[in-house]
Amino acid sequence: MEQREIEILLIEDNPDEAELTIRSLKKHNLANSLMHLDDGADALDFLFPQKPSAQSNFHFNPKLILLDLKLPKVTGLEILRRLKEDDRTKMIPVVVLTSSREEQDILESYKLGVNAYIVKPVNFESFTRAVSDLGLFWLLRNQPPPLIA
Amino acid sequence: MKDIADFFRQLIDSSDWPPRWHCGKWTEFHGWLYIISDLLIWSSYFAIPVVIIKYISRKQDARFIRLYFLFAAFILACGATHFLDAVAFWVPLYRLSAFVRLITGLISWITVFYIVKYLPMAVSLRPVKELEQEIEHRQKAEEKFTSLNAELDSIVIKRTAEISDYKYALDQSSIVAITDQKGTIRHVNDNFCRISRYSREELIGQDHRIINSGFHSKAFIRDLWVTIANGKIWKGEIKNRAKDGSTYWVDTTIVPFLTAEGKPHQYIAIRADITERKKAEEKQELLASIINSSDEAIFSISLNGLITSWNRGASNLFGYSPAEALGKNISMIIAPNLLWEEDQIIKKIVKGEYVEQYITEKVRKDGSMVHVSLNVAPIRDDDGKIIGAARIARNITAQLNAEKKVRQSEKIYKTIASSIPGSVICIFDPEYRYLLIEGDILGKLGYKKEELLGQKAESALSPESYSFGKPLFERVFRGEAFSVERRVLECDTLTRYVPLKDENNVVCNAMIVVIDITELKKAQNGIEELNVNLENKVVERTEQLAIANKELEAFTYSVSHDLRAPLRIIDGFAEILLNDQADRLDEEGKRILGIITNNARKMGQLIDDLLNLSHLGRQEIITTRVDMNKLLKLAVDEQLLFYKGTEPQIIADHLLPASCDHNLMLQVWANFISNALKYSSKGTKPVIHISSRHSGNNVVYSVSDNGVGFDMKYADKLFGVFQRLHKAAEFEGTGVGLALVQRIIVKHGGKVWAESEKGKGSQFYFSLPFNKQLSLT
Repeated sequence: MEQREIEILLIEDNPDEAELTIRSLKKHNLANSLMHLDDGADALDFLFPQKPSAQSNFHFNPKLILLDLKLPKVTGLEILRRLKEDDRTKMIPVVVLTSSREEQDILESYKLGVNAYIVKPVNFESFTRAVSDLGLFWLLRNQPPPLIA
Repeated sequence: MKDIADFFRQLIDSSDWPPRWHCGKWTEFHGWLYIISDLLIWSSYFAIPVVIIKYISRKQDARFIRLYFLFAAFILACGATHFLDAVAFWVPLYRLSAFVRLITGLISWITVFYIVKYLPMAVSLRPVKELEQEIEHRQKAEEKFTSLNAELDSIVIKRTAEISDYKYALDQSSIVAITDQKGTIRHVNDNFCRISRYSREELIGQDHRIINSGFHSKAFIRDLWVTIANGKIWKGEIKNRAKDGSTYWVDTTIVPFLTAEGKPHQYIAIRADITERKKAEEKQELLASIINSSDEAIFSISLNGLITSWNRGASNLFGYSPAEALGKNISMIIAPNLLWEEDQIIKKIVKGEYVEQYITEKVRKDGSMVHVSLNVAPIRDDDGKIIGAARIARNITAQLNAEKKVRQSEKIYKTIASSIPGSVICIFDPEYRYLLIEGDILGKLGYKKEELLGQKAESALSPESYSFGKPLFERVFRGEAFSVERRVLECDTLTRYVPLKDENNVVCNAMIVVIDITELKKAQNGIEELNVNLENKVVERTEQLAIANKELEAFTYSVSHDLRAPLRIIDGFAEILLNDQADRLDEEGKRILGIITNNARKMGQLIDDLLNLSHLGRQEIITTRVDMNKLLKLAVDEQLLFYKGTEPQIIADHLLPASCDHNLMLQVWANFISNALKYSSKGTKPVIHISSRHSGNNVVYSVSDNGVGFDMKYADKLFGVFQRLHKAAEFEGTGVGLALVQRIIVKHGGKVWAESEKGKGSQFYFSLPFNKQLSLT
């Protein structure tokens, strides 16, 4: 049941980007129970374990998933689709955190049911502010969905 | 009135008086005398009318019947009063008696009235004796008359027999009709009926108009009538029309029969059938008129060479009138050097031979020569002896000339036909016979001119070729012009079938033109092949383009995502270094880190601008009616939000509306305003003036500023990507803004340009096509 402790799941392949994000969250003590996955396929394996025994005990329910769109092997959009299709995970808030301001990506994400879409500013100051804002909002201000047993 | 009413009520009441026997003194004798007399009168008065009416009812021709009846009624009524007088001796019906007397009186007076009226007439009837005398007298006269009559009859019979003999003779020999003085037919004989083909019933009662042929003039008919109406005999030849429409000629004599006063009361017309004679005459006249009216010269000569007849055609041809020619020697129309011909002809004629279509020259009156075709036939008298020669001469000068022309034009045709390269031209008659065939590809098509010319296609062509050609021949001779493509041996041909029509627009011949189109075909096939190749290439290129486009999209996506991330990381970690390790850095280190972050941000901006620009290439523009005043305000407000320089003065005229993409046009305005603000001279108050005007079919918008301006030498570089006319240290910018503006404007079908003088501000213009509907809305 250690997963229960995880509040934020960060799916981001670039370790530098991940570090910047984690640093920004840490500044506001929001990264205490953060899990970082750097590969799309790994993320899917973690979220939807293939072992039957593990599947039956699945009770993963973080307060927020931060998702990059450009991931190796499996894209962020694919992960988003799987998350929102599955009854067990579709209520988890997912925020796309990406460099892409492509209209198509934004449109597709919202169609799949994303909860927020943040374009990472190049400017570090703005970036730090944006990340901490969204961490504060989703972890503290937002009322998460009730746990389904 | 009461008295009268009582009177009638008691009409047969006798109670008021005693019977007459008891009235006064009556002896038996006196009384009975009275009674019996009255009854006698009454019975006789009763008998008289009965007798009268019985008599009248038998008599058919009785006149004055009403008078008889009145008289009968009068006597009957008188009788009735006497009867009542007699009865009164026993039954005194004095009221009835009075009434009957009244009636008797009335009838008597009516009778008087009628007698006054009719008696004079009745009295005028002659007495019987007188009549008897007259009858006797008449009987005597009649007897005398009968004897005279018998005498007369015998004379009449004798005369009638005589007349009927004449009549028979007349009827047998002549056509006879008798009409009254008005011309109405009263009698016709069998001959009349036979020749006119009308029955006697149809003719009697009609006048002679029924057989009028209309041939004779009104004057002729009038003369006839005037003659006979004056009692004179008319003779003449008349053409009549029979019932079946045929006509006949009669030699006619009309004899008027006169009354004592000398007026005609009837006419007898005696006719003889002269139709045959007339027909013969007409035929002869017709022949003469034909000969005379003929354009051909027809004339005859005696054996010794004298002209005996000379028609109009001869006059026209040789110039001599009949008067000038008749009796003259034929040698006058013969050239001296050709006199031998005449001798030859006469020699033949004398032998009873004919000369036909002898072509020679004759001399006209004016000395000119004329080509003639001469036919000469012997003339025989009734005994068959040859007495002369009849000649027909036809002027064939025109014909000879025409033939010459035809030969010439035929030669021209042949020359034309044979000199058109790569063709064969044939002319066919309606039996598909080759009248003309020329052309240089005849051999190539496998034919020889000698084998075809003058031959029918049926026999000259192979069965296969003929069965192919026959329906086409039939079509062209139906008047249709058309073309057929066909490959013959090694030759592609285009054959044009053209009907040739005579002056009456009837197809008389057909022209067939065969053109060798082998090379043309080859070229055509080549073009078709090229076309197919070209199409394939287009498809190929389109596919390639689509792939390139896809690649470009992927590229821009990568740029958008991947180029930005490292920049953020550079910026991020430089910032972290600057913040977290600040105490370990000296001023120089901090300055260098500042340069790193500054450039990272600039590159981020550059990427965004480039993305924007490439994005625009793929974007569809959505045009709506845009209020440029509102749009400008939006752009200005946005730009002022980030502007930190001297408070600018922005003068915006009222702008014309445009048909354009709202968001893209907002970018245009934003770029111009931001440029105008950015390039304002340092320290001076920026003044920006925005206006618009019509220019032809466009609207031109302009943005003027009082800024630093630029050198017109570089005006063409203004709108290029990454082209900058100022140093980055002077004015910030990526050099993409105006390139973006140009792209947007060009996409709208407009133009963008600028004018400036260095240091004196610049004017930027852009035009958009003006949609007329905009001004209406």
